[in-house]
Amino acid sequence: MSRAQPSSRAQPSGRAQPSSRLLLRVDPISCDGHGRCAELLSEVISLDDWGYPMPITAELPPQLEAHARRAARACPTLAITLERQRRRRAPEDGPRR
Amino acid sequence: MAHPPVQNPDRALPAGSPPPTGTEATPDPGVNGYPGADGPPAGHSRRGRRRGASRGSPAGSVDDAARWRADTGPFGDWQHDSGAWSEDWVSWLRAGHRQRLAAPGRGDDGSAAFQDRREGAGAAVRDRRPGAGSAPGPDWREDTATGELSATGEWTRAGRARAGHQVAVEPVAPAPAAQPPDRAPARAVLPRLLAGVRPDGRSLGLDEHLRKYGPLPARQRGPDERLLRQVADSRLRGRGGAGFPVEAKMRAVLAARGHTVVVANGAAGDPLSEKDTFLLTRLPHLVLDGAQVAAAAVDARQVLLYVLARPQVYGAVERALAERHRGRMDAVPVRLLPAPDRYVAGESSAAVHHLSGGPPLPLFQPPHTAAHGVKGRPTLVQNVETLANLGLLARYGPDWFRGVGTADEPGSLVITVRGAVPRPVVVELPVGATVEQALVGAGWLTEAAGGILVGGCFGRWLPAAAAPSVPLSHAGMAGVGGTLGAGVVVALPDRACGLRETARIARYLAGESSGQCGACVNGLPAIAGALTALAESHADGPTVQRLYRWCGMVAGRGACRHPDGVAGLVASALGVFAEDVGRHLAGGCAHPLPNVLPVPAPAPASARPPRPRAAT
Repeated sequence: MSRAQPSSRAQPSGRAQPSSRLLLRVDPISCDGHGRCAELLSEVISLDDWGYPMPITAELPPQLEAHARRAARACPTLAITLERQRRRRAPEDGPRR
Repeated sequence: MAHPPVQNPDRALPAGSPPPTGTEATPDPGVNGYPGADGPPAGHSRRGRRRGASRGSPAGSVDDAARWRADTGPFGDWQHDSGAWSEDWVSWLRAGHRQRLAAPGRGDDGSAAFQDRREGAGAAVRDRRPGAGSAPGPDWREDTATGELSATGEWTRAGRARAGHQVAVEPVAPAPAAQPPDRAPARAVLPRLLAGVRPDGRSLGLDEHLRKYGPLPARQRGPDERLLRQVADSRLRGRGGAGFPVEAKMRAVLAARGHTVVVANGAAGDPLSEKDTFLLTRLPHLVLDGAQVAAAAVDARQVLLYVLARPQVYGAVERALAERHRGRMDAVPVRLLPAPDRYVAGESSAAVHHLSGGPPLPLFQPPHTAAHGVKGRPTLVQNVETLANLGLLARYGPDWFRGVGTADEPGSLVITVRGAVPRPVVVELPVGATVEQALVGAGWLTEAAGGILVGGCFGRWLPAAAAPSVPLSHAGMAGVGGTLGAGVVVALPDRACGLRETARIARYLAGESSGQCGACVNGLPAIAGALTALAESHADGPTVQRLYRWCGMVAGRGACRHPDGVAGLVASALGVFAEDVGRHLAGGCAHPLPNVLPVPAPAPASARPPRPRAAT
């Protein structure tokens, strides 16, 4: 259920604006504590005492966006969600299971 | 996110001497005292009459026996917040009997500081109330008198059905519906939600309900903009704990596409809170009226009643629904659905998940239930107390609604008061009333209190000396790092150990976790285990440090707020009972009384739901 936005939306112009930061969220229900995100994105994600990720911030600095996408793709349970802060279509954010 | 521990200058809040009896220093001979620590004198009605004919009551003939009776429910004692009754208390307290609050052998400094704080907070609360001047008596107490009079008188009067099931409206306790709208709103009266609670403990029938509160205004077709404006003007906030503005929630539901659904959430599983059960068993029609109002406001096609599957509660709602069905009261069809008796089942996304056919487990949000709720439809989930408020708001309007409470948070709160009090009660208090007023509503304390738990299992401990002056409102509780939670005030007797009781709650809540999120699955048992070790006096200093660390670690990391609640409770206990922490670390405990709070034993692991795998 990775909601990583297609990279076509991450235009260079949008990357510079602070208003369109990429937001990282971990779905705590899906997450099983594999810990790969902390390996791939250690700048933002640390692990708690039981090996579950603790993002220190939701807003990703632009230089980490590529790493964040890699971490989202690498998550075995697809628990990492990346989305632009400024959302275009609020209600149709994919069907909720 | 650790909550700031409230430092506790003097741990114990003295119980004080029993309240004045009818013969002693009571200005009003019509007001009896009520039982103190030793219980009622033999042959005396257990609950004291609070107002007599001397106040000019037309219903003075309604006496103790009719007003109060032994209750059969699990939560036997209840009471409207009687204004006159607490008025006497407060005037008694103010009239120079304060030194009695001090426990024998206690210094004057402590009690004086306590009184000053309490007075200051009381004044602040009074000032915020509209129409309250600097008069010594707060106005709502006097107002309550009239409200309660008609509440009692109403029972003896026979109202007649006008046509069909429409019953003639008598001018009753709240502002009469027949009043012209341009007139000043009727004076605010306090037992407003609970005004119709029957003294015999049974639920209010439909005819009586309509006589008492008047008929519900006719609904319009489509989303009722007028109703929405009324809700906006009333500034009503959700009473389920989060305090979210109701109008904003309704607008969010309306903004989403699809047929909307209203969920009346009567599944609050907090074992310390009785208010939802109380409202559903005693005033089911008020809640159901509110559900219809909410359905009209958001143009819902269906109302789902999500009610705890306890025979008493479920049966009362079932009977009320049958009654309404016969009377064709419900424009929007209502379905009654049982909720499992588990803590997390009452969380709004868990309710929606369960009503959609899934297990009663919280969901990862967003999408929020407002946009994507029951079976994908926009869903308005409201607590039953919120709905009861809506039922009255639609009748009497926002001006009336704002007649009590603070400017930011108008209205009243239904508060469960229990613990070391003479009579555990469900009282109705204005928002902004102090913890002291809630305790006074239950007859003050039976013994010295060592700490006050406000908010229920997910609440916060407050030091007993400082707690009475804290206002019961979202703003007031936020000011002391607390939360209103499920509207619970528990006085912990000084003989009981706060750490041990908190450990019991923590173990219970750890067992009630839905087992979905890592922080909850691992963190809560770790916290509960460490706290239990501390409570049993075989923990060391690093254990306490770990407790603090874990409380900060799990907060905000679940799909729901379950871990946050536990973390806040435990962190506040470590702060408020700091002295005891030291004592326990040294291997002792000064408080022998075990198992005071009515918290069930933790569910055995076999009874917990298996952790579901993600389906998609």
